[in-house]
Amino acid sequence: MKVYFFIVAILTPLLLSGQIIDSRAIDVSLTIPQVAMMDLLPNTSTIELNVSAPTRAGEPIDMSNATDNSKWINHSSSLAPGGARRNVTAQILSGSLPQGMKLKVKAGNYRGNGRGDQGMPSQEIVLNNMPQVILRDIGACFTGRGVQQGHQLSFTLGYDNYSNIDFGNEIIVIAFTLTDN
Amino acid sequence: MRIGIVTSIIFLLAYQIIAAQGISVSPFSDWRIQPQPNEIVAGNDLPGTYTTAPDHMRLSVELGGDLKNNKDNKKWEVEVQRVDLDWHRDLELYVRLTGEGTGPEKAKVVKGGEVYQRIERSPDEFFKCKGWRYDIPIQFELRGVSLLLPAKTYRVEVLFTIIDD
Repeated sequence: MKVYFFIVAILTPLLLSGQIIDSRAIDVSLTIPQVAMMDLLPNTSTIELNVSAPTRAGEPIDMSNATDNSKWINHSSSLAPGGARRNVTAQILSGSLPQGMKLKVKAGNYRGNGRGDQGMPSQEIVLNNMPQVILRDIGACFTGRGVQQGHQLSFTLGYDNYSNIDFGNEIIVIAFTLTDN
Repeated sequence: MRIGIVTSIIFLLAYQIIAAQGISVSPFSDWRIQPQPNEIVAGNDLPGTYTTAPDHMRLSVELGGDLKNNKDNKKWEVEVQRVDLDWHRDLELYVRLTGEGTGPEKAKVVKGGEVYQRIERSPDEFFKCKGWRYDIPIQFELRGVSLLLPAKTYRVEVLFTIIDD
């Protein structure tokens, strides 16, 4: 019996060697928020589109300074599982164009260092007071930040009805909105 | 013979009871990462990497009975693994030691743990020690965070297991 007891006494610590003694667990969690953010780069300052009167009789009005490509749409978007994709709309929020003139805008194809589904440009639209889609089918993505990142906006001033053109200095406010589809 | 067996069982149970065998972690060791939308600038992604404080979790281990030899020399190792509760394959969780903690003079961290180690679903050796150690500081890092992941809460459990070495 003593021998048996001795063997057990010696072996017990050895038997425990290599065995799991105890364990503890901690929880780690990450919450990805739903994000829908958009900005205009390099800034939201006023752009000027100028139409000059003809210098010679018989010539049309000079539209060479009636375009602007300086603004870029940057956006970041995350979607809940199964969540709706997003669009960017544009509309005239306040002010009105000189009579006989129309303002068109088009978003360019995506450029930059972002990732994901940055959206598809729609056809050029003529701005009015109703929101119209200029970018569609935006998924989870980010465009990158700054000019040359995202979608370049092309504004073009044109005449709607040449005979109705009424020169003047008008300021209009255009709203771009990132919305759920 | 029967008395011998009974005595041995009693001895074995007594050994288990007397022997201090345990791992403990500091309170508030759970880690919740909750980026706020207002921290994000349009056009940018979330920061891809989040890191805890160097001593986010402190691990203490006492192994073997309350004997000087155990306190100084008892060898043990820690394994680490993750248990996915609702996780994403793009998310990578790392762990490392940022110090050796405290304890008897001869006790020390013997091997490993000082560089970030990715926590896998199967248990991997994290580090080895000898002797009783207290408040070993542990830091975590989460990589692969992005807005491209579906917006929801991801959860994982990190399991630390002490092995008698």
